[in-house]
Amino acid sequence: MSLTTLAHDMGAGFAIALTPTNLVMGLAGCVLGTAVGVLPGLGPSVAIALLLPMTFGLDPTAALIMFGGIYYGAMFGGSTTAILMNTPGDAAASVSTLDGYPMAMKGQAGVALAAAAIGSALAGTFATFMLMLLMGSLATITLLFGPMEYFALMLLALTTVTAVSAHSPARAAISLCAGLALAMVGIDLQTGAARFTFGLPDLLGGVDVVLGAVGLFAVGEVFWIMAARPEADHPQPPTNRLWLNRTEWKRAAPAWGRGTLVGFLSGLLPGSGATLAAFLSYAVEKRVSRRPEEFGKGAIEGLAGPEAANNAAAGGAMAPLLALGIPGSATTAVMLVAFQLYGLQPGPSLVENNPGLVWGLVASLYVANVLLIVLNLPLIGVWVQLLKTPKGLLTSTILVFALLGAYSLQGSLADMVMVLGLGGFAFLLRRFGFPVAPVLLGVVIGPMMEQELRRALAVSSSPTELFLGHPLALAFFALAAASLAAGVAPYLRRRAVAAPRLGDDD
Amino acid sequence: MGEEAVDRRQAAFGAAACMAGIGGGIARAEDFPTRPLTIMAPTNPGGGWDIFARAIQQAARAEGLSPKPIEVINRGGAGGTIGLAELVSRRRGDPHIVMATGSVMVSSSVAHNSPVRLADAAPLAKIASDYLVVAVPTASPYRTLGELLEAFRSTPGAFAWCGGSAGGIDHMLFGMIAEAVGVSPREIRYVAYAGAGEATAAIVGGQVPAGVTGYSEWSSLRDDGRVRFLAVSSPRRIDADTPTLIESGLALSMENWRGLVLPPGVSAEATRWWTGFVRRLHESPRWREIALRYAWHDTYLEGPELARFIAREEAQAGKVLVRLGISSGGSGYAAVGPWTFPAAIGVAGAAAVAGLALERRSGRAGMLAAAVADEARAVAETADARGGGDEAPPWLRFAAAVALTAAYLVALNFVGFLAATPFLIVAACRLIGSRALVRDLVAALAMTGGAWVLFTRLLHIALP
Repeated sequence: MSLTTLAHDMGAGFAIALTPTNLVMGLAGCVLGTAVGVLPGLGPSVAIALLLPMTFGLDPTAALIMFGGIYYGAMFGGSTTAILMNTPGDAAASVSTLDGYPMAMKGQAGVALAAAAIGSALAGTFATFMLMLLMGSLATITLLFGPMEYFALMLLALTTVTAVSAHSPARAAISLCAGLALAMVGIDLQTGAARFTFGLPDLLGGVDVVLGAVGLFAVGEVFWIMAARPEADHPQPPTNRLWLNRTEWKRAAPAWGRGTLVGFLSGLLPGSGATLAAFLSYAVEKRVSRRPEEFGKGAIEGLAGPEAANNAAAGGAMAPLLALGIPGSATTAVMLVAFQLYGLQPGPSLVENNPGLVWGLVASLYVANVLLIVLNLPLIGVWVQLLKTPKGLLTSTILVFALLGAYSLQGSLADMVMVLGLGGFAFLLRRFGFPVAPVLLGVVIGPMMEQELRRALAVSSSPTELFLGHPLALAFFALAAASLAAGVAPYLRRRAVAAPRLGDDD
Repeated sequence: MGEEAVDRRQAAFGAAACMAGIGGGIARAEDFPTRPLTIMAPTNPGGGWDIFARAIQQAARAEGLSPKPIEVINRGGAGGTIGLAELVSRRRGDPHIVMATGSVMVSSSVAHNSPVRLADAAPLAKIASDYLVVAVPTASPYRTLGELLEAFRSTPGAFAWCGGSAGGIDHMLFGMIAEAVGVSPREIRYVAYAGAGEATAAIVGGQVPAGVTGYSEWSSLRDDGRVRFLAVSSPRRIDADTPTLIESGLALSMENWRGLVLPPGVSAEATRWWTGFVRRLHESPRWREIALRYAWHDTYLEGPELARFIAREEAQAGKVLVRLGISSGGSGYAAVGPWTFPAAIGVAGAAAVAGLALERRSGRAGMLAAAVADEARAVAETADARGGGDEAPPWLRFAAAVALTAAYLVALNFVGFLAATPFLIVAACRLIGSRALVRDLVAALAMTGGAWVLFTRLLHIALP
């Protein structure tokens, strides 16, 4: 496509996105998306599914603009409670607790929220820009990935566990295995066999990633606070600033860039999604950082990267949806239903037959990013006030919303019991010094890793073809090996150094 | 909300049968429905039944077919059997709900050896059917089904096909085709995908040589020249270019039907209203337009005829799935079985535990002692910061917190959200050590009200 036609199309798109109705719809979507993003468990896919029937009478473009706002808004909102209270609003924001919450504990809640918001807006804008420029060709990247490539990517993602573990690789590995085991619960897709369901029909569907995030992080944190002693109402350090200073800009900016790239590429691949993007970005940040020891204690890069990544992933997922009709995430799956109910079929013909809708939607995604940053920056001052709420009220409110969020997914009491169980499990892990994040990583990766490996084995004609026929997969395997080596090496080195010293003490 | 809570509670008590009788007395044809109606889509948003349920909702709204609003709820998982279980147990006797259903549920309930079967629900109507297609990537050397099957027959074990979940209709059709060309269904390689989206990427990208899916799922990709249809499972051609399986020499046809069922124990009056609703829907121009768009063919059947149809389908699914090695106990064909990965995780877990033991032992002389000590110190510090000198959170408080939450979940069932939540909040505040009872109570009431308005009024999620 030539630049002039692109400019012309985008001009027309902005003319559509900036009509008063569409602007109001976009704003409504952003506000609602931020709200469902903040509340644990409630996510954009549920919100869009609930709003769908109300949009039947509307112009499809206006409705889709609102849905786009919800999608981006939820990615913005998810980090707020993750940073302030250690309780992520959705699964993709779980990684933001690792450094976001320690930042808040140090009195940098305002800085953390600003870093998350700016990163989200930059990443969202970049993703939209790429979408505008290369929608069709980006979608072909989606098609390069077969089962073996996915398996290799999942293996690479597994090695990021060394980045999220605090001290001991063995403890992180145990947590990871627990997460992978949780992921095995339910009906096996390839054979229909029921695994670890203990005859309970409620377990046939397995452990949803959202339930995992809500149970392990939100409910686990609630139990952790409740189990502390009553005098626990210790004053939190006052929030120092609501904006980044020069050093923080310098540290956050490259992280935003790297996070955007990792997140966008991950978003293009159906199924891998925003949560995986955030984990990968965290590992990248820790690996390239000159201060890896600060990670987990409030390193701004560890928050900025994953926050940019999960927003960029949301933008990336729009490319296969619009260009091929392939939904890459739960939210884009619901958007596909919306397209079909309006009588539209995403795919190459969509751009030809409904250029107004496609370019209007793309333009509105730019507008949504501007609206979100305008909306969220002033809100930071309000959010940090939450920290002054009495701890008891705050904690019990989180508990109620976490349980309601679990309920909202399927209207099932069994899901509420499941998050209660996961919360108890997370408490026990923390009590005995095991990290919680690898459990969620296992729940996210486990099913894809297993299914893709088994698909790869079924599809391949010979063992040679299985390995040598997939150069992209080989590259991922090499990266995984390097990542694992780089992750474990410090422990081995430290061991060699520490051994004589501590041995002398004996 | 109040009424619904009452309904559910009684259903939970198992006193539903007598309630259905009373409810039936109230629900005369002229004043039914008294409450908003619900279509349960037993799949996640975006799945086949979800699209079907929302299409009915859309047509009913456009044509004004129901005096009360219709909402769609999702109960995904296990090929629809999770939704089915809820319909026949918790929703027994509830006249205000119907469930979307179809072929996939029949075969999944057989494949998963589910304790509930579709026959346990009350059949309302089969409304439309979709047909399956056999498709290959555009770059594939096979131009007809004959060529594809020739290659497949010579090396069945080296030739994977993709489609929906194992034991579903895509898999069944593949098994039947294999059998028809003389390949044992146990020798075939089938690659299952959770949704049409993932399978689409695999077939369009040429990752898998052939696939089976719903006609409408890939018809727009066919029009764009991204996949090639080789055969369709309908009895007669549904477009000019795609031959049927029968024309290709296989005496096979298969439909993917979609319909609605009621929970068991619904009064005759309510059933009559729903039957009238489905008939009016089926005849409405809006529905015909929607069905055309999704390539849903009119295969209308209702009541007892549908019940007989379902019984035949179930018997057939049972036979085919046994031959595929799927149903009741058999694990089916797969290059790696369902227990390989869990076993690998078990081994890895055991290795990690051994690693931890090593860490601890060598820890005496190694850095890992420092790590463990660090860890313990971190835990203690957190507890310190929160607990003022106590080294760890006390177990009794943890037990109380879990018990409180569990009690809340039980209470939700009996007294509902509005009554139970203020108690939870106040009790949790006390547990954490708040002494301001009045303030907590006021805040708890405000919070409960706010959450209730947010969920039921703004988001339209019914709370227990």
